[in-house]
Amino acid sequence: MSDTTKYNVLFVDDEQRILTSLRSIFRREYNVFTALGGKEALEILANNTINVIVSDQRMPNMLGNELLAQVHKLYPQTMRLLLTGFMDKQAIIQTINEGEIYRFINKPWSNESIQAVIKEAAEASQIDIGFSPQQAPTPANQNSATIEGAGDQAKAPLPQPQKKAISDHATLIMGSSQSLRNQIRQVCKQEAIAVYSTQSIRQAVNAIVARPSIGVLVIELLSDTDEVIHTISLLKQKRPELITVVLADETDAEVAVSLINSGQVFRYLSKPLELLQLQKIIKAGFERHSAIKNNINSQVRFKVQKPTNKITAGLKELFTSFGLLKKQT
Amino acid sequence: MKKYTITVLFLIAAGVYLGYLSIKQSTTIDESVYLETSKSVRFLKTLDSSINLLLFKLNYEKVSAYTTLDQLNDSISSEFDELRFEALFEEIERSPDLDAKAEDFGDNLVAKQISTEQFVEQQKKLRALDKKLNRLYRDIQSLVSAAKTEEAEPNTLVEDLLETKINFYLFLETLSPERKDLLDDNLTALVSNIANNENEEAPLIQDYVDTLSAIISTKQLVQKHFEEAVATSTTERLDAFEQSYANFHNEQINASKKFRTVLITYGSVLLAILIIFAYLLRRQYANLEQQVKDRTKKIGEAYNELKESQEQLIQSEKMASLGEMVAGIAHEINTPLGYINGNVNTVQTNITTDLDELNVAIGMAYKEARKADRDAAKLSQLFTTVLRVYQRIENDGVINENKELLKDSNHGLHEISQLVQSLKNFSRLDRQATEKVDIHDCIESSIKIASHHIKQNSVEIEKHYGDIPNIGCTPSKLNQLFLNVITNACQAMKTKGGVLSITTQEGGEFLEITFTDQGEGMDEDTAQKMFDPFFTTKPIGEGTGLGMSISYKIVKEHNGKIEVKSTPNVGTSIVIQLPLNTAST
Repeated sequence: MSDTTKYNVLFVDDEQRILTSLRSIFRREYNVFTALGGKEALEILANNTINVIVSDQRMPNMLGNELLAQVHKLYPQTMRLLLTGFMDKQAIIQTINEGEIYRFINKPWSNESIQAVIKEAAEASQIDIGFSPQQAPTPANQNSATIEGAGDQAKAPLPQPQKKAISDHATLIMGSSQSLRNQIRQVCKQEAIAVYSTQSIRQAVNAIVARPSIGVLVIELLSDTDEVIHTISLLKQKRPELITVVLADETDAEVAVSLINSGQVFRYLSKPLELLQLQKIIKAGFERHSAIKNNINSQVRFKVQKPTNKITAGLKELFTSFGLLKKQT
Repeated sequence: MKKYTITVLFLIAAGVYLGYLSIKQSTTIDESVYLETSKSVRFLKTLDSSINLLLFKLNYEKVSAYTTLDQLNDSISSEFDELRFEALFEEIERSPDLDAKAEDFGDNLVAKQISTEQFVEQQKKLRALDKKLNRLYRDIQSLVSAAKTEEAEPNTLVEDLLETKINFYLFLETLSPERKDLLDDNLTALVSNIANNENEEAPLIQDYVDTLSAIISTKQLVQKHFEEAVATSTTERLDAFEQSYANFHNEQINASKKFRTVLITYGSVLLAILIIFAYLLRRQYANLEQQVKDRTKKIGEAYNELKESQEQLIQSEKMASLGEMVAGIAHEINTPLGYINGNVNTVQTNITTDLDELNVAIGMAYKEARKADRDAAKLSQLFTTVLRVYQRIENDGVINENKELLKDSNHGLHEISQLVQSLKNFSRLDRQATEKVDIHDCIESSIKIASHHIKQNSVEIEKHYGDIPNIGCTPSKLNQLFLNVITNACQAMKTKGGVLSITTQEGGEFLEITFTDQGEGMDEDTAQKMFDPFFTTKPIGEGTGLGMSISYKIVKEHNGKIEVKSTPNVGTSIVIQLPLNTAST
């Protein structure tokens, strides 16, 4: 049944008819696998190399986000997409932060767009992710690594070359909260990462264009969510290796979907954060940044789609002035 | 408060002190005593002047009103004693000055009386001597006259005697020293005359001279005592006493006046303070009234707010369960909608690509076959194409797929229409409020509405429907009740799933509906509080705790009963009894 020239796609849903429908759409171009639940899906993943997994969120026994988090841990190469009927905020945020998913697909889907998304995902899955799954942050070994690292730093100053290598890194903060800026400064100081602090989109874009060393962008989402999403989307198009961490007072499901689909954000978290948590995220962000930079092809894995909302005139002008957006004729 | 207590205590102390003073004062202040005393003093003065007058009379006139003098003296003594020891006893005791004055007067009075008595004694003696002298003078005169006639010789003796007598009386009148010298000369002459004369009248003359001497010495004593008596000025003393008493009395009056002033002041202060207290009390009362009014108003407001917020809570509970219901239904509709949409698209693609291709191929072959001058080779080629396309379609299973997809879509549409029907039944907006209803329909539509919850929590529904009659009720409310109970049961089974069995049966006058789940169950305390408003076991923000209380209300509105039996970790049974005949209230 399986054709080695075709990509392997796995659909997971508790409703057989959904699976039938999806199979009929993809059966010609792909080897389609279907599972009625998370457990079955993991069995299939264990026995087959799956390029793309599309899971429903609401399933009995194992929720979509739980499944995708496991897949991320066990099979990071597999591109992960979440099929979601209606907004379930908590699950969506968890899928971003734990599942590092490629796209959210809304039910009901349009055949054309789902085909396009799966095609992109399948192609991207071929490209080496550039980092081993062991390096990917898993709760168990991440903890020990951090503690060890912190211990080393405390005991002796970092060797010169390593320090130099790290000092190539810079973090850009966009936001107005003093406490957050201080937190990030503290973390980056420990990690010997340069910090640039900006207050507006213009300043931030200016800094990113001027300084290629900036690897991680921490954005405090206050207002003008659309503008921020557009900015992230455009920056990600131009600089796919740029890692974005978005922080908000309160996370929002719809914003989360846009941030993933149009911005491929690395993390979307609600404030306040603990220092240790922030440190882990920034470290992981730079690891990912280096991986993408060193393996330029893997950028495809983090391709973004255009935001659905219309870009504002002011923002368009701003991006055009920086050469991020082509002048429209 | 302390301030008031101190003020009141001070006022009471002052009042008690003033009361004590007033009792003391009232015993002494008596105007009649003063009048009596004045009268008595006046009488004393009268008596005193009478005595003085009498003394003069006794001394210089030939009166002998000794008895009157004694009487006057007795009167003045008794009057004074009465004044001293009766009328003014206390006053004198109290006033040292008055005492001194009274003492002074008393002493003088006694001294005067002693002098008077001596004066009277001496004067009586003098008067006796005077009589003796006159008798002697007459005897001598008669003796001399007899001798004259016998001897007829003028005798100078009588003349001497007379002269002596005149000088004597002149002396007595004036008691001047010249007269005394004259009288002494006369006496010397008389004595020498006797010495030369051996006459029978000689002893008489001697006696006369002696008497004269006695009179002179007695007169001197009388004069001395009279002067003593007169000099003892009791009148002045009496005046002084009166003055002293007047002073004392004035002092008393002044003290009383002062006391009265103090009393008036005290009274005024008391009155003022009482007025202030009254004012304060009045104001406090008014204040209290205002406070009570304010409080009442506030309580009223709070009550209204509470009522309002309760209504809001009930409303928000409704909205929350509505929202949950809508979300569940949206998901329920979304799933079939998802595959129907996909299926239709796929079928369309299948038709527009594969089937269209076949159609075109068949059409071309058909056209060629219908041609009069058909080319066998071309026709065969066309048929080959048809067959190839057909073969491919057949291999792809497009026809079967289309059938399958359309069947699924049909199923999905049926699901959606059933959901819509349930929604319609659930709300019953197109039906009258109270009617004869098949409870099973209500349960069914509630199950349908809750289907998302049921699936989500892996709950299986077992129905044990008895043969029950339709009953009069408000279906939309009963639906709400059943939905609440089913939703709660599903939530109770969310960790491990389970069976929710729904049993209906007729029992006496009631229709009994039992929902038994295999969920977490509750302890007795929780089960007891289950129907209390705002009681919830869900985390904060996930439930208002009004669901079961609303359910309870709905059952009560139907004159029914709702009971809960629960065992932790085994499950919960909710038994609802609805009357068969009674219409809902």
